[in-house]
Amino acid sequence: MKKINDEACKKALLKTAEGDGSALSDLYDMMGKTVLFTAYSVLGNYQDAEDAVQNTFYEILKCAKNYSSGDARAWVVSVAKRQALKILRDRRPVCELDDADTEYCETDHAERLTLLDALDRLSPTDKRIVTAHVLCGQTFSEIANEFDISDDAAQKRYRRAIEKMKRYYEGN
Amino acid sequence: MNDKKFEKLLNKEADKYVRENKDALMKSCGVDTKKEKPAILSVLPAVAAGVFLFAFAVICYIPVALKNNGTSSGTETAETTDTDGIYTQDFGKETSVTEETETMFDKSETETTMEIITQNNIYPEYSAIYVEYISRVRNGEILNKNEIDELTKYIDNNYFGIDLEYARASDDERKAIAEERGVDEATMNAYILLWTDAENIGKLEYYGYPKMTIQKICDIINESENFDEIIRKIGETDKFLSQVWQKKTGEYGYRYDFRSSEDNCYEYIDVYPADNSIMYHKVINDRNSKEYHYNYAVYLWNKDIEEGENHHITTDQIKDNLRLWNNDF
Repeated sequence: MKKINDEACKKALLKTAEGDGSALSDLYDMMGKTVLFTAYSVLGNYQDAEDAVQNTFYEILKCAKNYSSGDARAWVVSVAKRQALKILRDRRPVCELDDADTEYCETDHAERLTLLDALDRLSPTDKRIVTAHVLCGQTFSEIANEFDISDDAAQKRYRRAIEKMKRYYEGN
Repeated sequence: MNDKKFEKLLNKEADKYVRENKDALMKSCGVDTKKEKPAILSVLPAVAAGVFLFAFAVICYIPVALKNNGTSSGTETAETTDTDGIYTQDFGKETSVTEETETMFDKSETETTMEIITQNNIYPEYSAIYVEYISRVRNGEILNKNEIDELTKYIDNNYFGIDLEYARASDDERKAIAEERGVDEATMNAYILLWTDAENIGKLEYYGYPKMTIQKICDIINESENFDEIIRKIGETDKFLSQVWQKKTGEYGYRYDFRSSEDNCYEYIDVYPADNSIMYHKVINDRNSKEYHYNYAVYLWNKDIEEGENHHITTDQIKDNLRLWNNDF
């Protein structure tokens, strides 16, 4: 994963605070993926994650002024996490209860890209581990700390998840 | 395919997915990326069109002017100026989008809360910690375990009782409570907002959802005699309060999150002190990797249950009575 330059990120954030729309666009280019997959790891599906991304950048546009110094990337990620948690709490019903055991509400997968679809098929924890490592650039030690497991266990779990994804991908 | 190659491919797809969503997302934020280009590029087509119109007008005008013996009025000049004026105005509209956004959101709610806390020197023995910690979290720092413990210990031990008392009070009683503490109502509301904020950004992000279970809550309800006792015991059992909000009617509600025993679930209870009700919610997400979610809700406690003295409820009864949550609070 390409490393995000914190100085550039900080600059874009400060410019956004001044109301510069193109700076928000630059910030999206730098942080969009991290924000999307941070939200995805909390919410577990792309539809809600996209809503969270939208809320996050809208919130950044409103509140970039609150950012003064420190790690700009972490600041953006903390906004994304808060927005994802908000969506998680505010979820509303989408299916009849009677159907709960037999049918599921499926969203349209036609547009989904194959590898991201494979990611979607992992268990929530595996999904979070793969997302954190591959798409958000977290180290195994950071992941281990978050899940309260050893570094080795985090690596093993990651490898197993990747194998599962590969099987699905190659089978399609 | 080796892992590295696979990771690269995954990143590539993710980049593509993010790129595809960009325009729509920026538009929803009031930023049109297609218009966000250097000013000179935006003006060039307008200037070119202006020059063309001007040249066209001059070409058409010369024969007429000559025919009119070379006399000229000021009208034509004014029309050309108007044309230029229209282009300038259009360009101004494009750039005003972000200015509007800026004035719409002068100050965030949290910022205002922080100001009230700082300016009014609320609970001075604690506010310094709050202001420092919350500011640090907002600036992207991650607090260490001791700092989070300090923050949450003080939230739970010092605010739960106070704020609950305040939240349940009538308007007059609130005034009296605020007076007694030497603060105004806005300040009291600020306490509650700050308390919630601290919980959300500090505790949940650090610990994940606390390990309260629906079984524990049912046990508490069964062992308690009344609503007050239930909520006091819930507060004592686990520090898992996550949200406080105010309904339009002015009543406060409290949300307690807990991690479900099932991996794909998220559960919480909502407590409404104003009508002595406790509602249990269960959100199911992502089972068998299908994208969907349900939100079930059932009253664990309400006034009817209390008045009928039939407040004993089991987890089996909850399962039996689970119904679709379909009301708007």
